[in-house]
Amino acid sequence: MRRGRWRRLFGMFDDMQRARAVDALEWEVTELRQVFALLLLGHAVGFPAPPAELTLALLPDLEEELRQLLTTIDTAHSPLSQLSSHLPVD
Amino acid sequence: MAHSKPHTTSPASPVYLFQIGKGGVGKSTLSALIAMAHARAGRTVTLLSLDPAHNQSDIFQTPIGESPVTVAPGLRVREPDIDRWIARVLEETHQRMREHYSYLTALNLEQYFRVLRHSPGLEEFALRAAFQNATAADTDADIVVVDLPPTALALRFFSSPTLSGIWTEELIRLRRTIKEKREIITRIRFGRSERELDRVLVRLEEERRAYDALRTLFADPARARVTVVINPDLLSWMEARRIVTALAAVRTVPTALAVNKWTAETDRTPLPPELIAFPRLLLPLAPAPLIGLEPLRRYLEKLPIDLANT
Repeated sequence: MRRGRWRRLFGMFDDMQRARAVDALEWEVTELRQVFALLLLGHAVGFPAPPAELTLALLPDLEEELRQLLTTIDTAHSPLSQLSSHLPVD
Repeated sequence: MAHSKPHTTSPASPVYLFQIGKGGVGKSTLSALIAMAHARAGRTVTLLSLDPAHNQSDIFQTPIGESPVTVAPGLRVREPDIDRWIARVLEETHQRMREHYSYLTALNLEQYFRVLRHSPGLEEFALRAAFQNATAADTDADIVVVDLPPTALALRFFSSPTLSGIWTEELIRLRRTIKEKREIITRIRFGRSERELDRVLVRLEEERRAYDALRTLFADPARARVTVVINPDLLSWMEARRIVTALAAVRTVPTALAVNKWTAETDRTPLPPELIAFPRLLLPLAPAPLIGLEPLRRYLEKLPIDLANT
């Protein structure tokens, strides 16, 4: 009985640590995907564009990147608040 | 001169003969002559016109389009419509988007897609798609003679695999980093490794293989021979110099210089130093327009050189 409680507690602690460990990594992945989307679809927001054929070839598989890019554009007025919510900045 | 011989079949890999030069110097006529010379030498030849001017229909006096038309024994001609290729590529992409995207995202992207179809660069992409389609279809060809569009677009045709290749390399590198990090997240979160299938990465690697194949082909003079066509006039010479320089940047070296409409007068003006080193094909000014099979055949027979050796 007591052993089960300890196991649950340990499980919760393990979950918490795992969540903390991946938070920063997830944020980094999101940023990298945005860089990727910007490289490929940047002409939509004024960036130098790769050859149009590459954009065309990859566009059908880029729904998630596109959504992220558009969301970022929507929240671009508060980039610092977005950043500080992911980094341990007090 | 070349005489008709039985036609060979199933070559290992065709030899590509590209004609490049300023608009109006006679690329299409020379392409037709070279194609006829090889066919008369017993080879199976595809003459592929990528020039939007569609001169091969006029030269052979027969309607020619995307599907091959046999104009002489062993010689078929294709004249794909580049605008139609652009429309086809866009429609295929649009269709894939509709299949892969959620309804709302696809709907919101309609406007973006309408803009995309006017992007620069689609013309050379369509040229390449038409080139790859024709060469994949005519697997029995010994020789593929390619009549290129005027210089600017033709140079982009040669350089775009290199340029797109650089972009592809960088995008693959970035995408691999993303994939590795996502796998680390999965490993930490669920305590096990899971290899993800990244469709974007798969697609990028496919594109890179296609660009590599074209780059290798264009840089191999044994498989791809580029003839720069000039006229006895300064403007075409100057453009030929620029062509040689631009091709060198993508490791393509022309194998010959064809002086079309050559007269004895031509030799009195020395060629620019950049052009002197190339073997020269002297094509005398024809007494009558080279339109139709018979005038082309007569011209070939009077020619002091054998174009089937080009």
